[in-house]
Amino acid sequence: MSVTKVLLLFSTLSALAFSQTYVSVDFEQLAAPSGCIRSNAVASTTSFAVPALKVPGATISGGQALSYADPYQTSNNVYATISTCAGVQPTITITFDGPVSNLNMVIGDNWAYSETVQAVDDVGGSQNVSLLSSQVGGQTLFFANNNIRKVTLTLMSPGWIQSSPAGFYIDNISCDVSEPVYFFDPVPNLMSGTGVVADPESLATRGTLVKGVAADGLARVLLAVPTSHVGDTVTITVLNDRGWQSSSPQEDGGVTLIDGSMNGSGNGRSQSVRVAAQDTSSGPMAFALYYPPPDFSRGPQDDPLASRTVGIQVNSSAPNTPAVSRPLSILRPPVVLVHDLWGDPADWNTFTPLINDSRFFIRRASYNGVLGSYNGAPSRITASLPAFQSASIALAKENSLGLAYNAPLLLTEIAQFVNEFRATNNVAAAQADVVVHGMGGTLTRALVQLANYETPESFGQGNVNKLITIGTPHLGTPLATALLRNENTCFREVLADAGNFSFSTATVDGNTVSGGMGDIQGDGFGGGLSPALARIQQRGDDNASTALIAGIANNSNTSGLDKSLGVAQFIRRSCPGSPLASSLTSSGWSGVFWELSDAMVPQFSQLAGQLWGPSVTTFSGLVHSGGLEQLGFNPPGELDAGTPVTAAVINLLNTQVRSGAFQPLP
Amino acid sequence: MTIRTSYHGRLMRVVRMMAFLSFPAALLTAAPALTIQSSGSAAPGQILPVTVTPSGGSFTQVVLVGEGPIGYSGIITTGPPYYFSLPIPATISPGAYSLTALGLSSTGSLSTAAMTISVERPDAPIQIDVTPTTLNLPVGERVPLRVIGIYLDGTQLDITHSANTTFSSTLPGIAKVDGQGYVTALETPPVVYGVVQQAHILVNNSLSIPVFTPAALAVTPQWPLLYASQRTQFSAFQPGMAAVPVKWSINPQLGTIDNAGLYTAPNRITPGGQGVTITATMRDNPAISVSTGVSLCPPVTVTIVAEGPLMLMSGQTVRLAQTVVNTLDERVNWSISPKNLGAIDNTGLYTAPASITTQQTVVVTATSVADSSKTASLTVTLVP
Repeated sequence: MSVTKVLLLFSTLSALAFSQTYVSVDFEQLAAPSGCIRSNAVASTTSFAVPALKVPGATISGGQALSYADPYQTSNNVYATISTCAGVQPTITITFDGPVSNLNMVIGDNWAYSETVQAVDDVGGSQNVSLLSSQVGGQTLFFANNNIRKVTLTLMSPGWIQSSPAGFYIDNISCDVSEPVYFFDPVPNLMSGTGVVADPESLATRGTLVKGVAADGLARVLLAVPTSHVGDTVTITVLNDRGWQSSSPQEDGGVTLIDGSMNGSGNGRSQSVRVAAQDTSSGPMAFALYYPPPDFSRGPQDDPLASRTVGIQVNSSAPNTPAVSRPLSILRPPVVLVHDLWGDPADWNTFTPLINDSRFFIRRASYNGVLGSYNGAPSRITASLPAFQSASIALAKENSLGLAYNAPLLLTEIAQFVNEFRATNNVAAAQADVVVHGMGGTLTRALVQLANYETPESFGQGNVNKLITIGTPHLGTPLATALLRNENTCFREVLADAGNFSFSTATVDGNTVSGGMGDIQGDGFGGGLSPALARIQQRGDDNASTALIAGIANNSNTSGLDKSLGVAQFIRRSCPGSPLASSLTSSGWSGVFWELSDAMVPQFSQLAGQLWGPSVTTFSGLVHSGGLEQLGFNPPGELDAGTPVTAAVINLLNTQVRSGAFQPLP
Repeated sequence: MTIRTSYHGRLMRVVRMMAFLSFPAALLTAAPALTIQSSGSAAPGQILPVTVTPSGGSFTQVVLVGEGPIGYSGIITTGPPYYFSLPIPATISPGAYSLTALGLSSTGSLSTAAMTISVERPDAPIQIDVTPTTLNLPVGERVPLRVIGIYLDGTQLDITHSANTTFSSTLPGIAKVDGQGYVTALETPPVVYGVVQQAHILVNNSLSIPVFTPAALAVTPQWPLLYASQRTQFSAFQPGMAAVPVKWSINPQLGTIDNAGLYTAPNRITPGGQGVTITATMRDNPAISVSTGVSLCPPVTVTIVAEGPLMLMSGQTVRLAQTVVNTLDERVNWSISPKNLGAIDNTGLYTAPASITTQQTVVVTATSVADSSKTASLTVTLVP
């Protein structure tokens, strides 16, 4: 724009590390051309790219400086991209020399029709801007996020066609810079194996800026402190939420040197660490690692909160630099809900109030894709044991398959949810708290067997923090074993008519995989385990902190089976040769299990063989699922609203992992 | 093969298959058959009328069973035909559901007939949300999207499998999406002129989910600008790794690059500029490579012209104008020699000294801000 602004060099940042610096960029200082540097209309045998433009405080690429002659604009010099110019792109990228806040700029339409530009920053912000051809002088685009280091502005519409002019311009970029200490997520670009790289140049330039961290005890935040000179020493101290030096790594987290050690000798986490500044291309910087506390909740005062803060205090040895601090947000880890065999994400619709609780970032995993023909695509399932007739099998979904097929999918989903949590909240995080129903629990426990479970992104520990299982057949269920017997074929077929398939194995995409029902076979006491369950028991390395919730059906739940014109009697009459169908009565069903159960899974199995202890909770008067209710069992089910289960889960999410309520499973 | 112990079982399989196709099987078999009829579509919360008609025999009980939350209907014993009013749950996720009629014949055999019903709300959601909101998928991995529709009445429904929900990929060769919203990363996106060609999954052609695929190899810097003989250091790394041994190559063969990634621009650069692609290839896996490049700019050239006479008397002025080519920064710094012989401001306006006693000359020089080695000069004569 024609308004002249004072330009301050961003490179003063390191010298003025503890003060606010104002950066402003317009383009009047450039003697810009009035048209394309090179037009697409000019034939050329060589590739051509307009070079990136370095301006004080930032590097801009994708477009070119332009002196405006467009009658719709009042700007003089701007930075623009136009589809008819050679060597420019539909995306303008602004890379700041350091993190900036309060970022705003003018953005406008190059041409006499409306356009849409998507503006994305590198700390999770995204917005679409509608540019109107009638808007003389453009409009101001604000970015709400702090610590932005890169912005991309992409023309979404109209299309980028070289023969048809489209494009936009920016001008008057303005922002604030400078923090006493920067918080970087080292994942993924600062990872070396399951640790963090040591070279200062990478530490200064490759991290992702964040404002907080999840309380999973595992994620790390790189603390980068700009100083005046190489060799300046800086003391970094963790403050509690009252502004005092923390005395508890368990409550407030701790700091270490980059290699994980403390000053002096030994490894561990201290509340204060002293580091020296090193030379980097961003100026002298001192580095340390912050480890979050293992639990969000320190007690009842934190239970109502979605986040809390600690302080990171920086005390430099440089003269006239008083100690300053910056708040670091501590968030609850994300919560992932995993449904049961034959289930889908909608199973959690009734799991209130948890699913509507704004304290938690909740996502629902899904493994219910259609295996049969869908939208004209050929059927992915071609055979099964036991077999079902071909028309019926077209109803089969992934939720009838077992651990081998669904565990990799679930692992990817949990990793995506953790990534989404990091991007959405602008925080570092490594793990999720996982709440599971039924087979979702064995599925989650099987994740550790996957080769890509212990990823660098999880610092080699996997993505599961707390695991809360509800009605999970840890030791299998005799119902599964019975359903797969030949004598119960009729019962099995009736269930399949509702889309609930009992597979021992199935051939999907040409590969034979175990079925979900096959994988949860077991007598409930630890015998007769399916190979999948036996593998979980034998490995014993799924050491997530686990709490177990069991439901037990009582007489009021089973009395509906005896209804004269109920579904249960229909199945009994339709499948007279099926022992399982014959047992579908209030007095007969308990005989399937030989012990208490939720009508699907025995209690001993739900509690992984521990009937008593601080990590087990049992609720009476519950059936396993809504599917059982459809067969004639009376509600409530374990995921139904109004049961104590959801309150117990919320309580467990607020309970510290070291409290005893969570134990590694035997 | 289904293990069935009776002729009835094998026969029923045929009956079921035919019933699924909505053909009455009565003419083909002796067993009674069912035909199921309905409008085939309903909205959540609606009652769907369904008629089940027998043929070839009679039934004592008939029941409907639908997939998922539809579940079982009440049992009807009066008919034929058997008229059902099937409640569709208000919270059901829109999509296609199978609906099967089960009939228990008077001889104790079980017959079935199935159809598919479409469950959709009549109104469109006023907002859709998709999770995850961003994907960071390694090549080969697959993950489902979940789409939630929020309606004017406040209802929120999972519309992932709704017939009205569409999925597409802006770069299907990089990341593909199927009709159920499952996204699979196929390849690391290419980088063109420093811009990553990111795939986006479009939901209903409106909501865009970016798919980030961790690069097997990354290189910096991206497309720096170099003049003749200038150098720049490239480095290659794998995300998650500090550094990776690579082999460097350039195309076309303009300039040189050494084994450590130090690129030196050629001595001469042709007018119009040139682009050179720099490629790093992993030494232990030549299949993995990444490219960036340099933009070679011809030399900055500065010329100056006078907009008036170059022979001045005391106090007279002349304006000088610069022309700088081959750079976006056309600024120059003005200077004179000897320094005290008159004055020149930063716009190129030269003013002769207030007193000139003898004829002298002063050299005015314009130095490029973009390249301080490039200058242009002219001489002004001062006359008393």
